[in-house]
Amino acid sequence: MRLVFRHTLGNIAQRKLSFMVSALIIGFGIFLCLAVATFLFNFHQLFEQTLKHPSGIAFLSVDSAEKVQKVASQMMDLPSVQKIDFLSPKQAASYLAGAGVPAALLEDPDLSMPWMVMVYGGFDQVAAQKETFRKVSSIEGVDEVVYLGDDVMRLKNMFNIGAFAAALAAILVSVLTLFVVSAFVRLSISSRLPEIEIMRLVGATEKLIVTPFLLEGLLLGMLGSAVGFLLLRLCQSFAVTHFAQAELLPLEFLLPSFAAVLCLAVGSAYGSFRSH
Amino acid sequence: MIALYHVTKRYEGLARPALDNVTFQVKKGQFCTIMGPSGAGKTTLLRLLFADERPSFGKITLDGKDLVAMPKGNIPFMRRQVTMVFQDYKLILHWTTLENIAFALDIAGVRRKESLKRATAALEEVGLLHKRDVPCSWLSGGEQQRVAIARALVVQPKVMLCDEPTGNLDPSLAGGIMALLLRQHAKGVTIVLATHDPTVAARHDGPAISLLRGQVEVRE
Ligand SMILES: Nc1ncnc2c1ncn2[C@@H]1O[C@H](COP(=O)(O)OP(=O)(O)OP(=O)(O)O)[C@@H](O)[C@H]1O
Ligand SMILES: [Mg+2]
Repeated sequence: MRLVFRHTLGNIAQRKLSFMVSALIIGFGIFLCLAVATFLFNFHQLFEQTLKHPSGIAFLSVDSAEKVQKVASQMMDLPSVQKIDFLSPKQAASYLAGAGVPAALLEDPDLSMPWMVMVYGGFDQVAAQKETFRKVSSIEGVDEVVYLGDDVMRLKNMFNIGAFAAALAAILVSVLTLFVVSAFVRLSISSRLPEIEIMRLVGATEKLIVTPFLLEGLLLGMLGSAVGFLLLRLCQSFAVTHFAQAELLPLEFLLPSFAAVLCLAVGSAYGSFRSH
Repeated sequence: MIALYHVTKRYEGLARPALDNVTFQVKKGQFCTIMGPSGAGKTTLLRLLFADERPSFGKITLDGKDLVAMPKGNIPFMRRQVTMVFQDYKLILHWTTLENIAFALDIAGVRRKESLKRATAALEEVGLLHKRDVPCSWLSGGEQQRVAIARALVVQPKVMLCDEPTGNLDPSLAGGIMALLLRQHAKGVTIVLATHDPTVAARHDGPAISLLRGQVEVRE
């Protein structure tokens, strides 16, 4: 095994520059991919937050608890309503105050605060939601309905575009890694073809001959991942200090992606060797 | 130890076979010479024994084992017991002489320190200790040839196949190398030596096989 390492390091030392350049190219690709993923990850967290908000608010014209109850049961019967919350006029006032409605307006004695119903529906069926809210507004005792789903829909569409970009970036990075590693290993092999021939004649096993090339691929993948990760960290610390709080990608995401890059690198190294 | 039965080797695009129905045996511990002019098929014969080529026809056994049917994965291990001195040396030119020789031991799993020690001793035996840390590309043809010989004997093989091991050496060095091979022979190593030089064959009393255009005549 030490023999294999010695050979691998010797091989790389001979072609330091192209090794570095290859690693940088892979690293930059990985960085782009991770950057998109980080953006998407933060976006997704915000999106999840939005989903916790009600999808619409109904203001009721009734004021006895009994009638409110009746309206409520009608609402619950509608499709794609998951949960409703009642706010008494007092609670409604504090909710609205929390949402930024001026106190002067809330305390205006001429405007009596109505009962408020927060309707939660989950935004996965936005089309159905819209229809539901049309029905909510036609329930007797409902004065006015504010539908909040359109913004969420827009966020969701943006998220989908982001996910598409991320998938594209991942594919691009895979192809890039495949291409760069196999180009490097191919060059490495063809410049060492006579040497390989001699090693076979002296009694080297196939394993001994192929492993240094696999290790080259692996090291390239590792260095590329490291470069990509470092660039990402630099970029993130810049973003955190200069823009907004951005959350780092969780390890559960990073580790499998690096593992995938390494597998890809070793695989393409092996493929290059076999095809030679 | 080595036996060939009706071995024929044809190369594509060659009108007549490089080896034609060759049958002979080399017994354990023998020093066998293969004589013949250039193009007679000496190198071809040795490469067949080294499992570097497959015969088009016929059977070759080594220590009773069929070389042609030997699984590919076993060939490297066979080559640690049967070594070859190639006519074109087959050295890794950008490595030092020491590295080239030690490599044969390294791959056999010998510890690094030990293999460097043995490689140094082998270099001394062929009179090249002063070129220990010099890349092989800096060596003359005769020096490279001696490094190739050192690499072949350093692993203490059972059989050495030598293809014109003295082809590039002046008479006194050639004599030294022959003496070295005879010492190996005295230690019990079976040696098959290919040469076109009758004076080389005359230096020992083992069997000699004459090859002419791929055909064989044996003289005991
Ligand atoms: N790989 C090959 N492909 C095609 N023909 C070959 C190949 N190797 C050898 N030959 C042919 O086989 C014949 C025997 O070649 P070989 O190398 O065995 O001769 P030799 O006896 O070793 O000659 P020399 O003394 O010059 O080394 C020659 O005619 C040569 O052209
Ligand atoms: Mg020859």
